[in-house]
Amino acid sequence: MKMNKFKLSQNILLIILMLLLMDPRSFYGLTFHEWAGLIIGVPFILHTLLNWTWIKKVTLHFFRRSVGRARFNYVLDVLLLAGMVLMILSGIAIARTIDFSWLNLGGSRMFWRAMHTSSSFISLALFGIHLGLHWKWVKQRFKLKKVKA
Amino acid sequence: MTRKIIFGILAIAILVVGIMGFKRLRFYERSAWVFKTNSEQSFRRGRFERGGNEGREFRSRPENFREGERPDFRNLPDSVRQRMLAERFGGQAPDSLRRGSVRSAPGERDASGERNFRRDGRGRGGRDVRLVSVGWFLAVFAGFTVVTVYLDKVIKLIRRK
Repeated sequence: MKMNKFKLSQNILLIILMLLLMDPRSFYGLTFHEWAGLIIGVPFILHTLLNWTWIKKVTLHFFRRSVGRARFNYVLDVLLLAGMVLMILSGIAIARTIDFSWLNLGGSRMFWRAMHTSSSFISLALFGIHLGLHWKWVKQRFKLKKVKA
Repeated sequence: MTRKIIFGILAIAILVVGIMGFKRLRFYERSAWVFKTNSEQSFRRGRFERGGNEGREFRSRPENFREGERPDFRNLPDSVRQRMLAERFGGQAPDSLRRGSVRSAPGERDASGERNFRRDGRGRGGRDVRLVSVGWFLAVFAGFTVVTVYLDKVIKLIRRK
């Protein structure tokens, strides 16, 4: 029960942070955007670790016993992971207030900026779909739906 | 039943605001931007890159500045701009226009030793928090969630039948 509450609050924090990061000018400027953009990786990894049992189970049985819904969720989660990685990587490439020039990521600034915008927009949409698919769990947490004993 | 109707109305409202946000943020265009960009294309800071139309919501503009003048004005060299400002305002130019080049690096220190966060989006109109665009992003996010929830319900219903 405590774990579920922790998961819920952590997920809410992740959504709020993600929304605040969607516009660099909305919340305390670029400095916040870049630092929080790096930090967002932490709750995301935590979210993955908290659901590790499910990930392990579906990964092992992906091509054999998994049901269609679990497979779809799994593919969506892999896309989300790819989106998050691209978002953070492109953010590092175009960072202005934190110096990452030593990383020498290559590519033009225009390309990385396009990558950053597109990956963040697509990830936001995937986040929305991910939440929609887990709506039953959210309802249970908010006691909107009775949990079967 | 009443609860279902209320939730239904709420879902439609979220969907409508979500579609508005989708159009306003040019969500599709910006999502597909990377697929239209060449990896070696040179950087040019255009309107689209600056955030399209929604960027206007949190960008303050001097009251006595006429519509349509700003883009050309911003591209002028500093010396020419200073001269134009002197001619137009006679030394009474708004502070936001009188300062140095808009192309200066973010966080760069000015003569007084203060960091220049104008390009960081800070210090515009003295406000650090502008949540209008965040609200539109929330609307789009909620829209995707609502569509998925109801689509999931429809698919389950079809399968059951």
